[in-house]
This record gives sequence, C-alpha cells and structure tokens, in this order.
Amino acid sequence: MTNIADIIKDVCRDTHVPMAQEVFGGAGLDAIFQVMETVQELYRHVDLERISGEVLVYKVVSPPANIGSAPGFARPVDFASLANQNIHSLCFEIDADGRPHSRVLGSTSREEIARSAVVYHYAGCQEEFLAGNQRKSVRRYDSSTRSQFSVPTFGNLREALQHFARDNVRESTCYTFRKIWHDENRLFLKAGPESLMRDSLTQYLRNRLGADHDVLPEQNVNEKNPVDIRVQPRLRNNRLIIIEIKWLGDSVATDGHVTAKHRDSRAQEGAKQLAEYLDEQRQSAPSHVIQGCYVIIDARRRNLPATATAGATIARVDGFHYEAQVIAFAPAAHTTRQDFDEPYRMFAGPICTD
Amino acid sequence: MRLHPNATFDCLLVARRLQAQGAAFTGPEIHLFAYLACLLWLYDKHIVTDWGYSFVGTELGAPYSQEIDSALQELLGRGFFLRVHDRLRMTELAERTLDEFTNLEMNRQRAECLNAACASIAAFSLGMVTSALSQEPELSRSKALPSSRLLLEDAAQSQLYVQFEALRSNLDQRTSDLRLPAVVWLSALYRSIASTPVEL
Repeated sequence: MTNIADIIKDVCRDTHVPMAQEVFGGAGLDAIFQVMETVQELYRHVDLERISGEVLVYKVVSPPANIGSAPGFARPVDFASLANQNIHSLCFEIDADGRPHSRVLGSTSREEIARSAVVYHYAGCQEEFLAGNQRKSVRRYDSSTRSQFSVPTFGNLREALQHFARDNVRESTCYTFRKIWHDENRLFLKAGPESLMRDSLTQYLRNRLGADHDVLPEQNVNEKNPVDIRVQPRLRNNRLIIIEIKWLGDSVATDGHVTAKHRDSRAQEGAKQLAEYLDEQRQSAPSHVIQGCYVIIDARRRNLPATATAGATIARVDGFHYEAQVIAFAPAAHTTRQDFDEPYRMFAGPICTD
Repeated sequence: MRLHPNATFDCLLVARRLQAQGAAFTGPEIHLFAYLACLLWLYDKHIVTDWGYSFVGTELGAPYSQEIDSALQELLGRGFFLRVHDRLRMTELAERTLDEFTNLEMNRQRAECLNAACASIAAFSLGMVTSALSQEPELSRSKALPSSRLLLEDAAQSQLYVQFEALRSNLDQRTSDLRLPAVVWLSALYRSIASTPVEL
C-alpha cells in the first residue's frame, strides 16, 4: 500500500492548487478557488455534452493586460441564460468581485493569459490549469463525468441509481465497470463480474450521495452470498437500504467458453433472494426501517455464438434486442411489499457493427 | 436550552458556505465540515480542547458532535433554520446573526478553519470530501470498532500528526492559508482510496 506521505508529495507536485499558490502566492490561491467555484457554477447550468469546443475561465492575478476584446467589465454573465443554448466555446474572465464576464480572446493564447492569471481550460473531457509558465492537468476521479467540477450531489439514493444506469452502465463509461467485459465489443461478460459491478456502483454512490449516507460494500462475494451494498443514513441509526445486484447475459472464461447464461429466471431468483434477505433483516433488527433496492445489470444479447471468439461482432438489432424488454416478475415483490423498490434494470449496451 | 457559542457559530458559518454552493444543506454535512475544520485547527498548531467541543466517530466512520446536534435543534426551533423536505435552509435571522458573530475577534481563527474546510467543495463533490475524510486516521479507526468512540484524544493523535508533518514539509511553510493543506490532504486521502477501491 502506498504511504500517505508519498501521496501528499505527489499531490503537491502534480496538482493545480499548489501550483497556483507557488506561482502567484496568496493571490494565486484566491484566484484558483474563485476559478474552481465559477467552473462548478457554470457546469450546474450548462451540460458539458452540449459544448463542442472549449471552455476557458480565468482570473487575472497581476493586471497587465489587454486580454481579450471586451472593453472593461460590462454586465456579468448569468450562467442560467446559457442553459438551452447551442454552445461551441465559452470564455469568461472573473472580476475582482468574483463575477464572470464573457470574453472573446481573438488571437491571445491561454499561455499568454496565464502569465498574469490563473487559467482553467477544458476541451474534449481534458481539463487543465495554467499559472505563469506552469500547467497541470486535472485528475478526474470520477470517470463517468466529463469534468472533475461537474460531479453532482444527489439528494437520495433512488435518484442516484437512476443516474448510474445512464452515466455508467449503458455505455460502460466507468473505468471499473468497463472491466466486466471479456471482449471489446461488449458481447460477453467475464466470469464472475459481480465484484466489479459492485465496486463501480459503490464508488459512484459514494461520490454523489453527499455526507448524509455511508455506502458499504459487502465483503463476501460468491454465488451463495449475494453481492450487495448497504447504504446507511449517517445520523439515523434505524434506517438501512440494501442493494442487491444481479446480472443477466453470457459470461465466459478467459479461453472463451461460456461459464454462465443468465436470463429472466435469474432475475426472478435475485428478487426472491432479496425478499428473503429483507425478511431475515426484519426479524434480526425489528427496530430498523429497511428498504431493498434490486439492481439488474442487463447484458443480454440475441444470437450470440456458442463461444466467444476474438473479434466477434454484433448487429444493432441483436445487440439491443433486450433493451426494451421488460422482465415480468411473478411473484412481483415490488408490487406486494412496501420495503421493495421497483427493480432497477440497467441495460449495458454493446458496440455494434451498424 | 442554552446554545453552545462555538457550536452555534460553526453551524451558522458552515450552513452559509454550503448553502452558497447548493440550495440547502443537511445535519450530517454540518458535523462533517465542523470536524474537518477542527482538524485544520490542530494542523494550525492549536490544541484540541480550545476548539470548545468534542466529536465522536460513529461505527460508520462519521464524525458526530453532541454540541453541534443540540445547536442544530435549537437553531431550528428558534427559527434560524427552516426544514425543507430532508434538508435545511438558513433564514434571514440566521444570516444577520452570523454577520454579527463573524465580526467578533474571538471567532476569527475558528472562522479561518471553517472557511478553509468548506472551501474544499470547490475542488471536490460533497461525496468525495466525505469519502476522503473517512480515510483520516481517527475516523478510519472508529470504523473498525463496533461502537462510537471519542475522536482526537491525546493518545490517538500521533498518526494524524505524522500526516500533518508530511503536509507541512511538502508545503514548505509556504502560506498560512489553510485552504491549501485542506485541499492537498483531502486529495491525498481520496487517492489512497482510489488505489484500493474495495477498501473498508
């Protein structure tokens, strides 16, 4: 395990906040916090997916300049007004009161601005800060977001689970989740992908549920013990949310032979297992309010070959055949008991040939 | 009930900072940032008893202060905070009171710690701050025990001071601004999780 002192040393050497302080002193520190707060505020209003070009936000530390083409400071920008616009690129300068103003840079480069400013630059999911003649790229701790400054905080678990399906699962965006696949076209799962699915969801929830909840992965992972996650509100000791994860699809060993084919009956089995687990918990902890959430990672494909061969492909009609197919649960615990949420089926799509 | 002056000030200041970042805040967030501020107080070479109140670490690895909890309840009861669904919001009365408290010299140093703690949410999501701080030696140790335990007792602080010393030596006495060690330390703690995702 890496020593924390070594990590501190790396952080001091590699990251943008110490850089800004080192280059511009206290004014640099003030500037970089103002820039980060402004960028966060911007991304609360503007979806980064809608920005095809680049984003530049800067705060002048020692005024030289004639930077950009705006004469002085006119009216500050209201980021909310940008929410529904088609945006190519954005550039803002932060004034002395911390308010952003639109700028058109013309031929001025960000390196030139950085001589007297702390500069944030985003393009194509890459972020960096510049100060003086130094630059540091921003480490994105959450791979399902486009920016380190756009990780949302969800008010509740249900909302977070719905976003997990879209943000991490559908396109296998998360680095950890991506490892569940045997092949690059995402047709077959690796054998025993449960722990990776659990880790991906655990990390996602931890990054987004704020300080209200603790997200605890279960340690025992095998076919007999369910892979699940416990979510516990921090200051309400009698509440507990259990997340059970099951997957559907075909898993293969490293040599390509199929190790498991899970279909609807597997989903039913998981629902039964969670219902029984909730019953057990109710008996062992009768004073707790327990809720069950059932997450089904759906990686089913139609017309897969009998074994996974290198370079296997799939057409869209087969790859996404199961995407809209609802699983009919009988019995349907979520309709008969209040402690069982409607299952969260999350379709994990393949890369198709068409 | 008499309000604990330090805990009350801390609740109000943290609440303002969190509310400025989002629509509202929660009780656990106040406990979390008050605790982070207390750690920065120690980093700044003050003694723990001068913080004015104590924290326990729950078995979940969360910081909790009885004084903060009582202050939160009183502030709600007296109309300083409003409950909006599961979250809280400050009222104008709270804003005015905080302005008065902030001007007091006795609150200057603790305000620096509280502001530095709250500034970290410019660099991380709330969830990331929570995750990072749960790796801090004291909270990390409390997770290993089945019941709540008092945090920051003298005997337990040594590992914490080793980390603070590493911070100081790498930051080379550059600045007295506590935002820098706060962000560097949280980054390091978060990275220590990222290298072992299935920790705990």
